[in-house]
Amino acid sequence: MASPDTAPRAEPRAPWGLRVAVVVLVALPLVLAAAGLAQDGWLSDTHGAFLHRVRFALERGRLELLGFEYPPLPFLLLVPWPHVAMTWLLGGLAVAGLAWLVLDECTDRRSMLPLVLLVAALWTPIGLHLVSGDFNEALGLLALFIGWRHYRRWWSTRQTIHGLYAGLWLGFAFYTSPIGLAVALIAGAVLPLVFPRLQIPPFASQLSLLVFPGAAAAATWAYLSWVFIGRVALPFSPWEPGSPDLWTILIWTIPFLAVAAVVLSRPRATTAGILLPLILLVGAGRIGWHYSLAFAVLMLTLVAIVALPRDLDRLTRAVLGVVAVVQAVVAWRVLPLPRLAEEDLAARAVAAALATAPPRSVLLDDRYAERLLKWSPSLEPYLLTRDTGFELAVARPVSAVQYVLATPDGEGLTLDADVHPPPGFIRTWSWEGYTLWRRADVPTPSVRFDVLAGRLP
Amino acid sequence: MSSTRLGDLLVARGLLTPVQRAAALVQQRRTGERLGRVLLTMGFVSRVDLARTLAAQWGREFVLVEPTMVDPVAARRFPLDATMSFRAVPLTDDGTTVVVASAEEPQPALIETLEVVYPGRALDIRITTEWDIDRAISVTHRRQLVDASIYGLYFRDQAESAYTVFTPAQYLGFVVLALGILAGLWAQPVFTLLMLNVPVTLLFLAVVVFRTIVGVSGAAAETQIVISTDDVRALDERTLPVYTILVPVFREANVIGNLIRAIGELDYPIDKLDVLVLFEENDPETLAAAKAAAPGAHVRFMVVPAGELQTKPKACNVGLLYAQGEHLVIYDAEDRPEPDQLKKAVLAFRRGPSRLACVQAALNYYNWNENFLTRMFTLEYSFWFDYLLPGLDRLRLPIPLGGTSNHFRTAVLRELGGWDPFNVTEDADLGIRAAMHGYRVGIINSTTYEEANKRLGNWLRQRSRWIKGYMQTALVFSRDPIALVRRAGLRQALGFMLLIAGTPLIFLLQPIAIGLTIGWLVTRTQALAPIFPPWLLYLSLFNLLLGNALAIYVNMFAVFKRRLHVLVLFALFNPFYWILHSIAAVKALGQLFTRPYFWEKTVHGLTRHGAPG
Repeated sequence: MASPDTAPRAEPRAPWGLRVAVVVLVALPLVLAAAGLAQDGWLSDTHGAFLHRVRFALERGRLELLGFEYPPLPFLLLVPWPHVAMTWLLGGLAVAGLAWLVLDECTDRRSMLPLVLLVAALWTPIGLHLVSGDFNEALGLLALFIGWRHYRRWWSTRQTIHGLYAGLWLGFAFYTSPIGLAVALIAGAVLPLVFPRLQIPPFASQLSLLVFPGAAAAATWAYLSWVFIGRVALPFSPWEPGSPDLWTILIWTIPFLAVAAVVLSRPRATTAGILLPLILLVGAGRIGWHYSLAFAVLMLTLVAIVALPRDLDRLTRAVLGVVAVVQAVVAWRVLPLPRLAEEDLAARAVAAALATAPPRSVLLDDRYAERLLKWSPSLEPYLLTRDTGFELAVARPVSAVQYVLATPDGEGLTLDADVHPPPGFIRTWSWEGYTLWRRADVPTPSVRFDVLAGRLP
Repeated sequence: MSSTRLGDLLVARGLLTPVQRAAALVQQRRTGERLGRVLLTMGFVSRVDLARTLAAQWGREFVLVEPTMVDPVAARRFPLDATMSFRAVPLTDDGTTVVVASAEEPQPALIETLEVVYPGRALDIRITTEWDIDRAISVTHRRQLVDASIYGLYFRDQAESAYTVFTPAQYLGFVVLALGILAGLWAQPVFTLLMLNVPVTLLFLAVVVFRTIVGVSGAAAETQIVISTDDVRALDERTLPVYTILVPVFREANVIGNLIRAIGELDYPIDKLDVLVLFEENDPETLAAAKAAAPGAHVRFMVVPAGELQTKPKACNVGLLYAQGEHLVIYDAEDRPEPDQLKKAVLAFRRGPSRLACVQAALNYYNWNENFLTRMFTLEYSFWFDYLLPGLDRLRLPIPLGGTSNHFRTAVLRELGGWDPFNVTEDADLGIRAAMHGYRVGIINSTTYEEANKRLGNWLRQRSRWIKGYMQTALVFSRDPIALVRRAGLRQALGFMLLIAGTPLIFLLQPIAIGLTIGWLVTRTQALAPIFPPWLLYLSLFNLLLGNALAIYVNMFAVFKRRLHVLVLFALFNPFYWILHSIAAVKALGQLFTRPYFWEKTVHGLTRHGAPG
């Protein structure tokens, strides 16, 4: 795949005006819906985790307090404006980017089927979960898709610039998900399938070129974490829930399976490759690289789009389109819209109650307070594990803080405080698993949680 | 004057066979060149026979010019540029008649000029060979040649010459800066170190961003193939101009024969080639080796008169004075240009803007796989010529020319003043000077293969010279920064400073950055914390990690583009290779103060690897 001597033909492109209109049409409903959900008080655990970590670092004035939470990109993107609106704006932008690229696939194939497949996946609770629930995954999908398209152009045009972009985008995707590195590895490993006569030196060099940026990103991440926290931080997100199981993924990716069936019915050396992303998702889930159902569905939808044969007859195209639309209708009827959990209501009420406490007056083990911190408008009142003096406060709270808060989230300091009252502290209230201890010489915060919880949106 | 045609005349005199005449006419129809030159380059007639026959055809007397026949006073009265352009040398002037030897048919312009210079004299214009003219000029105008080749640019515009290394203002600036730093270190050491760290980190960042943008732009430039092989095939050779090839050589007896063979393999009508091999006076061995290679009539040997300076640009300036081509290119003795390079350059000039002064071909190495150093050197060249220069071209930024394979419009090159013989990277300097004068430098998709340095000492000599030249160039064009911005534009000036001044600065500062990093890793000291506030630390880490990774990655692709797959992973060793640059930069800095014009000769012919076929 070295450079050719003549310039290849340019890829067909839809007119700019049309592209912008389609992109807005695809992304805007999702953004508006996400805004509506936010207005109703919805905030996903993932966005909450991103936001409260960024707020913490900014309020303390030390960016390094972001620590080495993985993935780093969403944190950095939220630094300029750590607001919930920023999360769905970024999610909307990522979806718009996907629509923009899929439109190119439509132009290239002279068919609207790619856009139908995308929209049928996006305009569902699945798409809404992606935009309003995890913009990082949406960005990751965008980076992977851009990388893939350049990778494919690298094959077809032999222009090294596309190989360079492919490697860079796949490497960049590592900052959103470790799956980016795995995709780069697979993209390099399957080259002998694409080019059966590929000899070992060019194969090895192309594999290296695809993997290097991701490997460099991982090495950079490892080195920085070792420098700053003394140990190599692995690319796992502790707050992420587990991945969906294979059957759940398969049930919600019927269009992908249909396209795979079409592709596999006309076997070529590369057709089996369409199943690789599915295997990748299963493997990633097993080793702890978690992803949401929305990520899996959208990723496989994009794979289906790029795998669509160019010479599909009208009937097959129509059938695939109908399958996608039916899947979307079923998704609307079966899948729930984003909705707050009961625990969120309690955590939000407690966070609101303590929002006006003096700075660093509440001792809290943030490792077990994700839900509470997600709803805290400011982290100023809390003395947290990464604050200077936390260890001292744990050892002798009476001389360091005014309150100790125990949370219902798990083991550790807070539970210990629940079982063994901190010396010199008096239990003030206990509600929905949260227990507040106050020092004997400070006033009791006057709070009625039931009323407060009712007033919040 | 005889009305008989030249070919018939030569046949009638028994100097040419009818078969040779027919073959020459076929060639003439193909290339459109004058028959005399065609016959010479085909080796059918000797120069003397041709000149004697032409003299008869033009009704002039023939003369074989011996240097002793030339009256220097009479000859020097005729200006050097007129002598060169008319290919005519006055031999004697007795007050009534001036005898002039000419290699061309005397034209009214020559006669008018002679009448102005020698008023009231009768003119006796005789015909001689071009070689006789060249030899006569080199003897009679020796001092003028030396002056023009060394001081030509300096006398034309001192501000553009590196003869003055530091201007008083620059000296003052450096002294004030040094004293300020010393005073600061004495009074407020931490604050001073912090204030030094800030611009250094920002410089590293700027260079990382700049080189990445330019490199990626260069990679993207391949989507715009300038000249294809089909374009070259479609060229009508009759429309091709005469092309001068300058080959400055010094102590290269071992490789000069190869170069003459390589030039013979160029896909360009040989009768339109004007090859000037430029020898130094103190190098008879190379001259002898070149003569032994028995080149054709299109090759001229010029001995560069010794003077106060002996550098490649000085030799090139002499060559420029003698050059007859509409275009001109420089090749080094060990060069192997791709055969269609000259034609691609001609096409580039035709298609390019009228202000296109020069096009640069890519350079790469035929002995790339010889040892670690040649592999790293090839990685570097692949990036420089295949990505960086095309990137600069695409972004319309000033392009520092490479050492060889730069193709010029000869007239523009003369207008620009030729090469600066005091600048040891005269090529880079010329590229920037062209931009300063509103000319453009372009890139062509053709490669010249050279011999990569395989020995460390030789490499360090060459590299320190290059870095010293960059320092000289940066000093020349930073004498008046406002003028630089006004003439070249802000973007171009910034690009120039980042590339030409930034490169040596980065190499000089790199050991300090590496030392600090290693020192911190080993000791984990907190002593550095005050000079690395968080924001500066993040930028430094960006430079260290992503900067290096991006540079390595783009470099990997540059060799991949060349299908040098084995070298792709060698790009990972670049940080070690860059340390060698730092060593060379320190040496260069020392020489800038002690021996600014000293031209450290790179020894060629060390490789055991052959040139590509």
